Amino acid sequence: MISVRNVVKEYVVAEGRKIVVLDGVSFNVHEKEFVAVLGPNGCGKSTLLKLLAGFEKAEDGSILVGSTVVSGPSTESTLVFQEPALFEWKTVYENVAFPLKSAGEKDSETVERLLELMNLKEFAGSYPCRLSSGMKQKVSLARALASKARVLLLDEPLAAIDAHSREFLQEEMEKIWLNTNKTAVMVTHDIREALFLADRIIVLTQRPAQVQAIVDVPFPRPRHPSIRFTQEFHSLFAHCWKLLRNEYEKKGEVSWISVQ
Amino acid sequence: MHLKKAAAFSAFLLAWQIAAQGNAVLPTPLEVGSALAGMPGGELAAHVAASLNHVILGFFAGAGIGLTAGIALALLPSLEDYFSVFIELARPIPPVAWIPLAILWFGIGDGPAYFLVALGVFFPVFTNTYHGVKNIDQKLVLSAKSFGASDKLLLFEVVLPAVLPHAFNGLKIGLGVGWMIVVTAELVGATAGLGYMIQLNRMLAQVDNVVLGMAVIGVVGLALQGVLNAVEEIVMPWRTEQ
Repeated sequence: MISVRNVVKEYVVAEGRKIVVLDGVSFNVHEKEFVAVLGPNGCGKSTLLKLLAGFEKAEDGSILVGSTVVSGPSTESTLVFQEPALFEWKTVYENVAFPLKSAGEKDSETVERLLELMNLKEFAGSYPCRLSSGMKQKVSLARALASKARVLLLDEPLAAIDAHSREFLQEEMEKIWLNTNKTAVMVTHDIREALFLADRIIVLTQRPAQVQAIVDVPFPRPRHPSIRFTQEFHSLFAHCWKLLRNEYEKKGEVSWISVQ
Repeated sequence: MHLKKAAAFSAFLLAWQIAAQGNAVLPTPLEVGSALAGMPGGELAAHVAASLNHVILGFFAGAGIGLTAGIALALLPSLEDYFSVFIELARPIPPVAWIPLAILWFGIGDGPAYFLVALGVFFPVFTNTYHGVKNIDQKLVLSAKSFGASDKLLLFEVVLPAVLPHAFNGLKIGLGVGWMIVVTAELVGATAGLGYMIQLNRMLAQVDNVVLGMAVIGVVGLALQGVLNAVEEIVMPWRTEQ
């Protein structure tokens, strides 16, 4: 479904100096798979998502969604940002309906079903400014799900939400995702979130990022909240944690923390 | 809140009354009140109507051109390349400096006032709108594009609503500037209006009528800002819900 081949991304910073963010990143994502991307801070995880969405261009390598080369924003994929990018002048209903309107459709049934799924029905007529950050993120997810995009790109969608609500939202997200036929790629800092939601986890190295490891997550779906307390979950958590810690140690951040 | 304002205003009138008592160059509020009462029927209203006509028509012309140019130049780099230099050159020239040319072009009467008000309104509206479009949150535009929004949908349902708060800031500043300019324009090139009334009474040494004209400008200007605020609330209901 998604094929990322030797992608190189550079940014030009002060005085024309170049920073290589991604250095030959390659991986595949299968159709209807949920893949999480983990990596140290600033390693280029969000940049990778923007490249997948066509919001930025790679210096080298290629990205294919289906058989189409990604060269700009397309209706094949949609990105849910960490800060929900809602249209504040549209009501919750109008925000969710926007992708359908863009496609020239007036499918009120889909919008209502999504609002129902997200427990947002009573806020359909409200403007986003009336909603909590968790609810705003749900609207943002509902809007992305309403689109015809086959690929859902999630940039730390639950990062701004408190730890307790986050677990509930992870469970809701999995249920909703299972109801769709979309392929998902989610960037996160949270190993538990990645383990709960993903089929596979791609662990990136420090910048310039490469794929350090791909971890299979074998839990059956739908996932029960109690899997978080199983031995296998803990083992996988420890494995991912070690992979990430190795990267931080390479950069010297762990020794700096211990000195502090 | 209203009580505090009323108290402050009453205290101001009282202080003014005491300070201006027996002062030959500053009439008291009571004298200004008498001037209002003694003004021949319909004369003040005619001046107010003339100034309102200048401000409102000039405002619509300046705001319309400012909004259109701000959006067009911000969205179309080719237009920006050609025209931004003219706007940057004209911006530092005070509208008052255009008065001689305005009289030459439009003659004595309403023409120069319309032109000068429109000019004064144009720049704040243009600048705010232009920067509003330039600084639009790109996440909104990219999201809309990834949903497959057409250019028309993107413009009317994403860019324009996102830019409205900036445009309204420009309109509010523009309206204030418009009032400042209309008085200057009417001082020199008009045959009616509050500026004309002030100038005429200055020559007749009727200071109470001069202050009356100033007070009326303040009141009418405030009322127009109130109208603009009400329009803003109607056009942007999502902001009043916050």
